[in-house]
Amino acid sequence: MDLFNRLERSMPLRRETAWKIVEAMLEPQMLKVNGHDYAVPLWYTWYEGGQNTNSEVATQLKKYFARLQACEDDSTCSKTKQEIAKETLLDAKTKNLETSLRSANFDKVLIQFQQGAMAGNDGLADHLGQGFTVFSPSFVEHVLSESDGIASCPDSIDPDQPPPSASQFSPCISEFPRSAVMVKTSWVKVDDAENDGSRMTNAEAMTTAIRDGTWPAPPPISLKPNSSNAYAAETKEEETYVLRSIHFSTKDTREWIWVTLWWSPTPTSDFGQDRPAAIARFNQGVWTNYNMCVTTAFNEGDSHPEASYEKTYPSLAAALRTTYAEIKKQSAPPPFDKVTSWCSNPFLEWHPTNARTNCIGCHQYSHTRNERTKKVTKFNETIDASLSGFDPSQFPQYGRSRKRSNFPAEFAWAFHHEFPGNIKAAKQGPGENP
Amino acid sequence: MQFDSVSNFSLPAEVPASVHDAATISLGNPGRDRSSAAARMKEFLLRSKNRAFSIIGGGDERSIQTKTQHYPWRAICALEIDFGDQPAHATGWLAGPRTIITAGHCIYDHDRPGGWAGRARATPGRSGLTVAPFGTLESSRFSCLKEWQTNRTAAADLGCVHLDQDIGTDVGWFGFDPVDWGVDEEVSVVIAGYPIFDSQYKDMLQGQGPIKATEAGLVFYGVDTDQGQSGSPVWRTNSTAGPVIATHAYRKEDLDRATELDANAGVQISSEVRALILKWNQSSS
Repeated sequence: MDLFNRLERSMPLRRETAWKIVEAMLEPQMLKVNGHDYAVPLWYTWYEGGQNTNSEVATQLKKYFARLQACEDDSTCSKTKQEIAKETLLDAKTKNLETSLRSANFDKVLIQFQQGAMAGNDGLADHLGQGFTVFSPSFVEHVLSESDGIASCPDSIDPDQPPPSASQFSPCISEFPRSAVMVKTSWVKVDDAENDGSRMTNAEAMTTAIRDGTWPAPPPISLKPNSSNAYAAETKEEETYVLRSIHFSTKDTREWIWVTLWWSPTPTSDFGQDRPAAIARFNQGVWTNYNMCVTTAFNEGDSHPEASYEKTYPSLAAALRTTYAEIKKQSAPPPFDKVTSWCSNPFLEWHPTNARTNCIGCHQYSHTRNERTKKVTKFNETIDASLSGFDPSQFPQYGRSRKRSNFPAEFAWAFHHEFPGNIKAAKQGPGENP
Repeated sequence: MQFDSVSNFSLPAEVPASVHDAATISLGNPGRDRSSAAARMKEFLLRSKNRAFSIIGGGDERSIQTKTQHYPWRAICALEIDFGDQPAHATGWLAGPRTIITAGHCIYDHDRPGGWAGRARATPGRSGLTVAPFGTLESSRFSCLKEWQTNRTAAADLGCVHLDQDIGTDVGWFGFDPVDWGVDEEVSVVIAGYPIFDSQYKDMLQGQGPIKATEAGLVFYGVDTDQGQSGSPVWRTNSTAGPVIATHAYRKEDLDRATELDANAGVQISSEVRALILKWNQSSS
């Protein structure tokens, strides 16, 4: 049985796998500055995305197209696009983390980073940070070599059109490599009124979240993430931002593994109860305050997801049991009547009706046509039944069910929102005569 | 404003100019390996105050110029300048066979002992793929406007690297003129130089945008620039290759007027500046 099927059928295996992914994403990368060692989480060293033409992904696209042009101008050059894409990323392999982490999009400093190096350092305050979507090197390399397919991909591919092959979901690009990762972050200023960390995800809260689609109002708890209990960063203006949530989507299966973490005032309960002790070794232990859920498939193949946790992690078991039960009530007419999976982040999926989604369901619709409006599908249309006239066949089970036979964007919303604009701008060379 | 020049070397007796020598700078180790992230980080931290970085508007509209071995781009030089410690990066443009024009602050830094740079390495036509298509030349002879040296006047932020050998005869050089245009004429300019890009200074980036104002010896334009582009040539988009009408020197945050206009700025080629550059050409030969 392949990994996809094994994960679909076992919540314990799924969560165990997810925590391992989290550990891999947090693995410290050592950076030496002025003789001092700093530990930067692996994901933080990757390429920042965004719609801006000065994002790191956009920079690599510019370099790639410049190399491509140089090869085309050279009659002796026979390099393939894949080779040129690889060369482009290799050229950036000694990426200046300082420049990257000082991104003009979001300058920050890692407080844990600073505190960890405080002993013996000369007090030099660095300002380091990254932005909101982040992509691993192999993901970026794939975007480069597949840029033609991304730029020319129509957004009107019939949902029932068979995929090109058993190993290619998208009619536009080949699938991302196994090592590809997509990251999305959500930060809030420590002193902001919006810095309210008290989102509950226990059994009672999950009943409301899935039934109503919206996260329940937080209880009157004054707990908030700060630089001591959350992954934090400080800007040049001495404003502190804390990471409330982070998504890790890895291509360990063809359908991706969708892991998400959120800061929780009750980190030893429900979705944090089974956190491995090893997580405490990262960044002065702040990651022990983040709870986690994971999706690997459209459907929930484990009909008793709580079973393995009843004795050891009862709070987690209760949340999983409730979640499954509430999801099961929201069936749809065949063929969309299977029990679907769930995973939603209270800080990243805060939109109306987004609390009862499962990541993969909404992502399947990236760069597709809404059959009802005849326009490009917007993500909120997939999850908000009112926008579909409450027609359950439009986006079955609030978008959770698999409806499409193909996935043009390979499940990446950035394929639609970020990369086409980046590619278009990067292709515009300066020309002979400006 | 006076347009007298100063240099860090003695001019030949037959060249009439008002000059005086600056104190020599003891050189550090220019051969530091800059390939490591740590080395670049330290360089960045030390150089941050010299940044001429400003992206106008929401995104970076510049493109990589791949035809750096073609004229006029091959007449633009990537500069590495030693002030005794970590090298600084800048851009310069050839105004004659042996004369590279750059921003004054690139070769005379008021915040450094003695002010003058120690040595500069110029690589014309450098690109990300072809590191030194026409070789690299070194020089320790510089000039700048006296007004810059004495009063740090923005409109005098202009300098020169005098080469000991001809390179302009191989790659060509830019013309430079105090071009006028009508009051209501909308003028767009091009700026090409060697900014920090993907953590390195080896790609030539080119951008274009409108002139927003010309005031008090400065030209203000809506063209994206970045650290390392100080000294870049500015020329009008209606011409294939110049003449250069300004030398890039400032980001919008550096000057109040630039901030108001949401523009970067450069030192205008006025008739006085033109005459000075011609004099520098003589000094170089």
